[in-house]
This record gives sequence, C-alpha cells and structure tokens, in this order.
Amino acid sequence: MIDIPDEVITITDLMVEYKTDSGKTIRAVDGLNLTVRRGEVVGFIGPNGAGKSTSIKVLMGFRKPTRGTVQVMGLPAGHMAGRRRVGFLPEVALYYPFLNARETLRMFAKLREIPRGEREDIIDDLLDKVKLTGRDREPVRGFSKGMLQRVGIAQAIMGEPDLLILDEVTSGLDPVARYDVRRILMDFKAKGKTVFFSSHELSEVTMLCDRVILIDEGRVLVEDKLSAMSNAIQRHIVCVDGLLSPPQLPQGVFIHAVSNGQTTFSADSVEAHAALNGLLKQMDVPIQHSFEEPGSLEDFFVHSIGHKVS
Amino acid sequence: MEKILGIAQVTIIESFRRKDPYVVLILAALIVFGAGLFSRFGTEGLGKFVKDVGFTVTGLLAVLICVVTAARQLPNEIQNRTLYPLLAKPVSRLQVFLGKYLGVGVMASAVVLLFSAELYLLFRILDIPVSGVFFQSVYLRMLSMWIIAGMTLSLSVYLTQGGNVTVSMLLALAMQTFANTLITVRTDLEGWGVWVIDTLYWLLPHLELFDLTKREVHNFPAAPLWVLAALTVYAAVYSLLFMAVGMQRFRTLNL
Repeated sequence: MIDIPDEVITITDLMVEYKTDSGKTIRAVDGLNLTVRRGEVVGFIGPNGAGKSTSIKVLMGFRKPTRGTVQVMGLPAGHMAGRRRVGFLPEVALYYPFLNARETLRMFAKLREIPRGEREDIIDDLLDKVKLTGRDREPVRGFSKGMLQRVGIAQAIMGEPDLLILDEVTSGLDPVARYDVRRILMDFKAKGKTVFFSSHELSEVTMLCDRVILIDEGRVLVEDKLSAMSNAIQRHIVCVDGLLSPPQLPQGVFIHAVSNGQTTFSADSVEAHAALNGLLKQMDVPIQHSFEEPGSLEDFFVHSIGHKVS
Repeated sequence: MEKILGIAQVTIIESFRRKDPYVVLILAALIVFGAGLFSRFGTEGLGKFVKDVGFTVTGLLAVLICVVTAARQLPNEIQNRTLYPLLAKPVSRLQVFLGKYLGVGVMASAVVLLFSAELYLLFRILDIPVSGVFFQSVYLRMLSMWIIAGMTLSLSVYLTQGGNVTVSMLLALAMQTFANTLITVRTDLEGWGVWVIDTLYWLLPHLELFDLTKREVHNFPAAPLWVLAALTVYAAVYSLLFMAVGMQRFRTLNL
C-alpha cells in the first residue's frame, strides 16, 4: 500500500503530439502544467479540442507523452500501484452490451482485486448507490446513456479509490441522473477524497469544485478558486420598465430577462455598461434600478476563451 | 491469473451470446447431412465423400469463427472504449492480451468439439464407420485453433479489422491447403524466388500437419503419440511467437 502524497496529480511541461490519417502532426497538449492536491475537487474545463481528454489519457497511462512528466499518486502515470488507488470514468464507454450490469461489475471487481467473498455485497451496495437495483439482470445493450453512465460510475468508485478521474462525467445525462451523480461525488468529497473531472457542464463544475483549471489549445489559461474566477468578472445589471427590444444592443450587452413588465439587461464590462446607459438615455427610457454582481463561471469561460469555433 | 481468466470469460460469453457458433453449427449440419443423403443411394465409396465433406466444411467454419472472433477483440475494445476502464484497473496490457487469447482459444476449441460431436452423430446416423484417427483429428484441430487465434490476435494490433480477417483467413487456409505445394514450386525456381519460398516455408506455421482428414477418410492407422506430443510443442512455440510479436506492439500502443 502506498501513502497518499500531498500532490496526487502532478503534470509538468506536458506535450502530446499525434499524427492524423493524412500524416499531419497535431499538437493536442502544449506545455501543460498543473497540480491537484489531496482532498481537492478540481474541475478541468475548456472548449472542444482544448486537450482535456488527451491529458486525461496520459494521466491514466493510455497514451505516452511526447514530452514532459506526469505523476499520479507520486508514481509515473499508468503505474500499477497507482492504478490500485484510482477510479476512472471514461467519456461515454459502451461497456459490454452482452453482459448485464451485475456481470459487468463482477468482472471489474475481479480486476480491482476485491476478495471473492466480498464481491457480491460490494456490487449490491454499488448498484444501490447508482440506483440500478432491480435492473442489474438486464443486458447493458438495452441501457440508455444515463444508465450506462451509472454503470460507469459504479465501476469507477468500486473499491473506494483515493482519487477519482472522470472524463465528461455528466455529459448527456438527464437532470435526475445528473443530480444522482452529483450526490455521489459530494459523498466522495465529504470523505476527503480527491476528484479531478473534466466537464462541459459548467453548472456542475460550479456546484462541485473547489478549484477550476481552464485550458485552451493544450495550455492552462487560468487556474484559480471558483470564487476568484467569478469575482474577476463583474456583471452590470440594469432594469427598466416596459418590454423593450432595441434594434441593436451595444457590444457586450445582452437581454438578461423579460418578466413582470420589466426588461433586465446585462453588461459584461464597464464600457458596455456605459454604452447601454447611453442607449437608454437616447431612447428616453428611465432606469428603475442598476447593480453589480459577480459573473458566472460561464461568463468567465466565454470571456477567457471568446467565441471561437473549435 | 484470476484477472486473465476474468477477461477470457467475457470473451467466451460474448461469442456464445452472439450465437455465432450455433449458426455455423446448424449450417455445418445441413451441409454434411445433405452430402450424407447421397450415401442412401448405396453408391460405393460415398461414405468417404461424406467424411471428406464433413471434415472440410467444419474445418473451414471453425477457422472462420476463430479468425472473426480473434480479429474483433482488441479493435472493438478500443472503438467502444471498453478498454479504458479495463486498463484503468490494476491490470497490465499483457494480462488483457493473454485473457483475450485464452478466451478465443477456449471458444474456438469448444466450437471444434461441438462440430466434432455433430459430425460423430451424423456419421453414426448415416452408418459411416469412425476410427480412432477421428479423435486424434479433433485434438490436433483444437491445437491449430490456438495457433490461428494467436496469429489473428497479434495481427489485430497491426492491421484494420477487415484487413486482418482477410489476411488471417488467407494465411490459415493457404497453409492448410498449399503448404506442400511450396516445395513443388521451389524446385522450378532460382535465385531470390528460392529465398522467398524458403522464408515462407520456415516462417509460416504448417497447419497442414494438424489436419488428419485424409488419414481418417482413407482409414489409415492412427498417428503415433510422439507425433501428437511434438505437434503440441510446435503449436505452443508458434502461439508464443505470434503472441510476442503482437504484445510488442500492444504494449506501446497509444490508445
């Protein structure tokens, strides 16, 4: 048994290149540096093609880096002793369609080195946790995406790993499944375990994470606490009476809400706020009230990445 | 060892739940029984014909099932991403590879046994005598399946799935059918042609050695035990060689 180090994940100067079918070299990760400490819940976010999944593949030892070092649990990525302490959920695995959920978990229990006598109890407990009790004898082939993800989470948390690495954990899940997954991860967090997960669902990241790492083009753009990120973006909210729809809003100004006979605008910078005030004055519309609030993670994401198409 | 057995078990369950062996079992029964109907006309020597058809058809179908099953194992695992959670557990790539090999080998051997039981039953129904060579033939055919499984599994990390099925089928059937022809061809060649034929002759497994069909059909005596023992070692060596070549690539394959 290895001791859990303070830094459970350390990525230093990671570069990953691969060749496409046409022979072109693509640099998926370019000098990535990051650290995840014991007990943290860290969200790994970025646009499509930012290098999240490639980084996670290197972290799990599925892919060799072109350059750089990656350590998990103080050991080189993919080391057998390290894998004994890690639970992993890949981005949408199909599992074995001809097995049922119980048979699937039984196979993973063997691979996880869970003693034979304890397996069935552990599987019952896991099925209960992911709400698949009663469906465990059905072939996985008939499972919805959400149910498959539940099987995936069950195998990932099997054996109480110290570190969970999840790739797009809530991708494509309905609100109930998402709630259940969040509950399981919160439970994990409460036990002082470490979670490192990539996601496109920024609301999930906001609800779960202590810290967020935002990457783009294979590099870390921002790495900070969630509160610091939100505070970095201030939104200016302006409310006016009437259902207003100006033909053209200044750049950085959006209609935030239209309800109860009022229109609420949101401006994402001081300049945009000034331009909005100017427009309302020009239209002779009095401002009912105006205030500032911290931006959401989504605001921060869009502000940092921009609107480029990946 | 339990991890290897666990992976092998999944491979075996998959094959039988996909019902591939049952389909070819019915197909083989229909072909052999159809050929057997000729013997009802009382023509002399048709028993030999039925035996020949029976062994050839079941032999071909067993190779087909073995190749198709072995060829899809690793590519499907990668494509469906089932390999990721597998390798995220404390399991080495060697264990995954051996588990797959064991699973395909056991499944293909079980298919040979099923085919043989079916043939035996049909020969009994059609009053065609069966000698001890029949049982030696079953054993050797099972051994050849392990070589073919190793070869196809190894090629699956180098070739596409379709390409692998084609190449493996060609190699398996060509070596069963035309291995002796290589010697005949060699006598008419000179220079690099001789070198190519020699390389092929010594590099490829001689699967024709595992085929006792003609012995059984023509009522030859059973092969001595030392031959069976030597062929067992031969099969083990070739399987190991193929596995080593495949593992060399799979070990470093970026997923």
